[in-house]
This record gives sequence, C-alpha cells and structure tokens, in this order.
Amino acid sequence: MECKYIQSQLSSFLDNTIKFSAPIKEHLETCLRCQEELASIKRTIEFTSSIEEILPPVDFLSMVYDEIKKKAMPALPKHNLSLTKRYIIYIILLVSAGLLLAKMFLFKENVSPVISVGKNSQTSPVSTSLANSVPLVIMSKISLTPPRLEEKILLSSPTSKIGLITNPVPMESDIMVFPEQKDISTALPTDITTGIFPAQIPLKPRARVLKLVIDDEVIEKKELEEENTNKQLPFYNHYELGDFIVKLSNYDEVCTAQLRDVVLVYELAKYENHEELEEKRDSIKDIIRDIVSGHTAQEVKQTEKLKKELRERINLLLNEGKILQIGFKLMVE
Amino acid sequence: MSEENVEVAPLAMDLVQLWRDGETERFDEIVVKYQKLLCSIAYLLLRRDYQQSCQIACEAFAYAYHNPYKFHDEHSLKIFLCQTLLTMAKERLKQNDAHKEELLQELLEGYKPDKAVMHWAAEDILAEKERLQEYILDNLETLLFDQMVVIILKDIFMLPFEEISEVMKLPLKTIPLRLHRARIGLRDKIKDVIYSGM
Repeated sequence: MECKYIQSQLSSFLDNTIKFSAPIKEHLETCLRCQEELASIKRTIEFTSSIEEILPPVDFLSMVYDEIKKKAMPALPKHNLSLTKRYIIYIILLVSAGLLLAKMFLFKENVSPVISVGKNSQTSPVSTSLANSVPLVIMSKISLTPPRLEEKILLSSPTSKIGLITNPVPMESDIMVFPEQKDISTALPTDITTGIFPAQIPLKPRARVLKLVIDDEVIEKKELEEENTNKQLPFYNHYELGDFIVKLSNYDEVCTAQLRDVVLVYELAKYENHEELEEKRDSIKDIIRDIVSGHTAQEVKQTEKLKKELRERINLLLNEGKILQIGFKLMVE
Repeated sequence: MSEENVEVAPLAMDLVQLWRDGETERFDEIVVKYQKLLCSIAYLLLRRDYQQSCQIACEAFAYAYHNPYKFHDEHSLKIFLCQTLLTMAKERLKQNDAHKEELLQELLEGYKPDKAVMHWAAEDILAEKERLQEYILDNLETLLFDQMVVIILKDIFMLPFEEISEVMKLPLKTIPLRLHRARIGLRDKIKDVIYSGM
C-alpha cells in the first residue's frame, strides 16, 4: 500500500467522510510516517478548532438598521407594496406625464422634433417645410461653453454645405457617425444603432432650431449673433468592433452584458494611420471584455463612466493616435 | 412512558418564512441568530479587523434585507449571507491591499495605534492561549483566500461540506480535497508548534 495515497485520504478519514478498509488500518498501525502525518493533521485541526468566535458589538442590530436605511431601496418585493403607496406612485407618474405634455404644447413653436432630408438648396427662414427640401447636416451650435465631444461628432460632417444650429443638441444616445464619402446623396449621417441612412434626421423634441446655414450663408433668428461658420470643421470616422457578450461579476446571480455595435470614433486629421486599430483589434477586444467583466450590472449601467474607462485604457494601447469616443448599445440581463 | 407525559415539541417555524409573511420583527431574530457567525467569519477573513468585520457583516444583513426574494428559508438565507460576506470580504481585502502602501507611509510618519489597540496587544502577550491563537491566525492568513475560507468554515465553524460547497460555489467533491490541501499548507506553516507538542 502506498503511503502517499493513504496520506492524501487522512483528512477525509478524520472528517468521517470515508472509512478505511482493514488493510489500510493495518498499514496505519505499522507505518510510522503515516502515523506521524495523521497526528500532525489531527493537531492542526485541534488548533484551528480552538480558535474562538468573536462577539458582535452590543448595538449590532441598530448598526444593521442604520445600514439598511443608508441604502434607499424597497424593503420588500414590489408586489407587497400597499395600495396607498401604489396610488401615490401612479399619481406622481400621471402628474409628471401631464407636465411633460403641457411643456410640449406650450413651447410648440420652438419645437423641431424632426427635420426631413431633401436634395435642393433653398435660403429662407427656418421652418420644417424648408428643411424638407434641402440636404441638411447639423454642423454647429451657438454655445457659451465648448461643445461636448458627442456634440462635436454630431455637429460635423464632410458635407458641410448646409447645416442647422440647434440648442440644446441631442443627447449622447443619438450620436451619429458620418461616412467619409463626400457625395451629398450618400453622405448623410448614419445612425449607429441601425446602420441605415435615415430618411429623416431626428432631433430631441426639446431641440430648438436657432440658425440655418446654407452654402456658407447664415440665416438666423434676429436675437442671435452671427457666428463664423466658415471655419474648418474636423472630420470623424469610426471603426466597428462588432458585438460583445460579457459575463458580469455580480454577487450571487449570473448577469451578462451585451454591447452591441461597438464603434470607436476617431478624428481623421489626428489619426492618419488608423490601420493601427485593425492591427490591434484583438487586444482592444480583450480590453473591453476585461473591463466590462470586472464590473457589476449596476456599474455597467453607468455608461458614461464605463465609456470613459474603456476609452482611456484603449488609448494607452494605441501609439499612432487616439480615439475620441466609444459607442455601443447596452443591454444587461 | 404514558401518553400523557409525552410532550410534542412545537414545530420550529422558519424565521425567514415568518418574516416574508409580514412579521417584520422576525428580521431582528434573524440578525441575532446569525450575527455571531457572520461577524466571526468576517473577523477571520479580514485579518482580525474588528471594526471592518462588523461593518461588512452589517452590509451583508442589509443586502439580504433589500433582496428577500433571493432566499426562501433559513438555510438558503445562511448560504446567501455567507456568500455575500465572502464576496464583500474579498473586495475589502483587495481595497486594503491597495491602501497598504499608504498605511506604511502613515506608520513611517509616526502613526501610533490608539490606546485600546495597545491595551489589547498587552493582554495578548500575557495570555498564553491567546498568543498561540494569534500565531495560528497569523499563519492562517498567509494561506490562499480559498484555503483560508475552507478551513474557517469547516474547522472553526463546523459547517457541513454541503453548505461549504454552496457558499463557495464549488462542486461538493472538490471541497474535501481543498480542505486537505489547506490543512497541509497550514500544518507546514505552524510546524514548530505542531511538532513541539508531539
């Protein structure tokens, strides 16, 4: 009988999970090495089991309730909410919906929810009917503060013949990427999420058209100051990375995040050798997987932070240039 | 024994089920029942940092309070609490390691432990039993995290293998093997004490 095998089973024997057969027992009675091994493990267990438990503080219960109060979450499942509470929630929702509708109707004149795309140029005051007949590309904005990166991406285009100045600019979720071609008929913004050239360029309902730019001529509302629109605007391009499905690190449940249509946006002028992205495609993908998998579902949902982290890590990898933004559609299950 | 003398023990009602049925005060009983276990496990995992261990034990209870649909009875609550505690302790250890350099700097700059800590240290030196315990714990903490967990759960808190496998999210068969390796690892570290008494 091999001592090595018996010694590997000693722990289980002491835990009563296995029972030794007669030949093994005989071996144990005769083999000094195995006896010593058994005694040493036994003594180790004795030492560890002698470790005493600690007593929690006297006010532990109140500490727990303090901790519970800190986290503003429902104490019981939603279906246990009392009727009164439910009614209060419904009333709050109804009132907020009513306020939103009222706001939309009151400011109807300033609202330009959709701007259609046409082909012929015209110069006339800003209106939706005008927009129907010209190829429109949003290109600039009047703002006292420098526009955010997403706005820059949205507001620039190789076909900067005609543009709209809007305030405020659509949110990040509406980022559009402009193709490289200069052909006006095809060089319209592409929506990242669909990949299809939209027949209409959607704006946020609250976006107000402040200025229209057609062939470098500015037509604007009287109260606005003229802005120099002749300046060269940067051109942007994007690099597609495809879809990702990543397992998240949650406490006790299996969560996955789907990052769909992941694109890296970069400025053409500042990233001449953008083939580097193709060369480092696999490493970039690994970085994305690594970072996303290290977060919990709640952390991933904070997309701004996540994008910033991803961008910074990817830029550390790149030598020839930098990416400006990373875009994706997120689903957490 | 006559039938009259036979006392039928009342069925132990599951605290979790009672709490879920609306008896909110049962949560207090749950806390009281498991506070010692959780605080002690946390204390050993967090290298005997009493304050931090009580803190994460509180957080584990609060997490359970806010997620009552994740367990259905006392057994699953116990497993859930231990799992949460392990994850939290692991995270806290990572954070502590990250701040180790800062702490070292603090020590170099003349950081002095408060009187209570010094007092406890003096007591430890006096008590032989405690000193031995400290020695065992010092070495236990040098093991890999999973090895430390398996020894704490099995040898100190006597949890059955089934529960340990649930808490550690590992197959049942691997637990005895891991435990054996952990015990051997610890034994090799405390050889001088083990063999001195043999």
